[in-house]
Amino acid sequence: MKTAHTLSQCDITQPCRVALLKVLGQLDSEEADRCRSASLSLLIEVVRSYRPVPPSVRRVCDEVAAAGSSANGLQDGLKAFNSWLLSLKLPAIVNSLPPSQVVSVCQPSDVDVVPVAGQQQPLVRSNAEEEIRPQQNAGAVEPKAAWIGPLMSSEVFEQQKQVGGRGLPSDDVFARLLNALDRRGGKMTSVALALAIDFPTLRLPGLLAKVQRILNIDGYSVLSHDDTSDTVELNRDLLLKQFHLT
Amino acid sequence: MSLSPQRRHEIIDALRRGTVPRSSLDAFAVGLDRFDGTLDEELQKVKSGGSQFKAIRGEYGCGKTFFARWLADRARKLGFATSEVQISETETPLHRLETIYRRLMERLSTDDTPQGALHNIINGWFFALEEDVLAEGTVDSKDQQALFERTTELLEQRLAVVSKTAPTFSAALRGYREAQARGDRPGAESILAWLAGQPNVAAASKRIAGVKGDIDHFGALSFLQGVLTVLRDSGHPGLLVVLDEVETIQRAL
Repeated sequence: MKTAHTLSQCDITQPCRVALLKVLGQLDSEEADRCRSASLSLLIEVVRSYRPVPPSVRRVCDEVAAAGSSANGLQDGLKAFNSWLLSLKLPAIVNSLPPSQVVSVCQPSDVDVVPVAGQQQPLVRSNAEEEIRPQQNAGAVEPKAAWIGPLMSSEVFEQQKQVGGRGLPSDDVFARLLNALDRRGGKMTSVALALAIDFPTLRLPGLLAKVQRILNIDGYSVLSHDDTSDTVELNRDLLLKQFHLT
Repeated sequence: MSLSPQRRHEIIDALRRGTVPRSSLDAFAVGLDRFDGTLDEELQKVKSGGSQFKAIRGEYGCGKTFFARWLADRARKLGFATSEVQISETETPLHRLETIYRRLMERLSTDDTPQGALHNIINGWFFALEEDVLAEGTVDSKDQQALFERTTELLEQRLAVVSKTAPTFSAALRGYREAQARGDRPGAESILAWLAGQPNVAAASKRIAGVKGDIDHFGALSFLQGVLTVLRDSGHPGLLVVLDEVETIQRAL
């Protein structure tokens, strides 16, 4: 029964689905195959691992997970989940994806809807694909936060790079990382961060270590990584103070 | 020596409250100027591949520990990793190097991480290795698998000298990297804990890395050399170790 509720059949809009997969970092080809048959448990896993989920939604998801195949519980859970997702305005994130990535997970066959028992109006419509078609300007460079330029050209930054050791990340990667974090209010899971800056997840821990080496002057954690929730946090105020930018 | 703005605020706040600042002792150092020249010279010597040993003696309360911390702070500013171990007759005696090694790893600090810096040092080293591999131009930066394999190969080559005396060091690092690549964070953390000399690491994690038992007295020295190799290779100029309270051992003799 459970396998019937695949992600594509779930009562969840296509843009949200892609955004979720983006959060999970499951956009390479092997994973794209899996997402077509990804079960509800995956969806629930996403909600549990995604930190900013409000407790109410989390509770519903726990109930859904416990109820298993109960169709009514499932509907309620998905409804709550869906409205929360919409409030996040995730489609905006999806639109900023490079076209190739979006297309690879959203094959037209993906959108076929098999109505779940008791479902009145499936939210996944056959024209859902239109919604997630990225806009023309998707590939354009995102506007940079105003403080990043002065930071990169500051004297302190230059000094820090000199004692930063070998193999430092390029200024471009640096700027993208800071920009991505800044846009998300300074906090992101590391998987989401890797995707946002288009950096291999495998190399992210190393990158973070290097960036910390540059930014965390005197051991003050301007950039910190919480292992338990796998979240990267940027303390912008502290950064501006430490680099004499206020 | 320059003070970062946040640190300045902290010192002024502490003075206002009348408490001792948590980590800015160096700003209060008085009368240590005369050591400046010699110490800087010696740190430079270490930086260019040498080593140096210093013993500090003095009456109780004359500032031996203060001096050591001040020196460590100076070294960190130059990019060194530092660590301070309190020698004690029961917990960390000099003849049981594995206990000292363990404490040393716990207290390992760099300018960016005040404690437990091993994690960041190793991740940073991996990043540097990956950059080395990418610089060769034979591996595509998008091909994660190839990059991973080539980097692991390079890791072992760089640790070849250490592997002669402590083959488990590179095995553990390889295990850590593999666990990390698999996304197995708890596994990776336990392997790193083992590498840092912690006892009570789950046998399952050790099996993944292909290591057994705990680090012993002799292993500890080789592992320390391994950590030094990693530090040097990732561009840290070296390691400064402070052994504090060594005089307490004398009473036992």
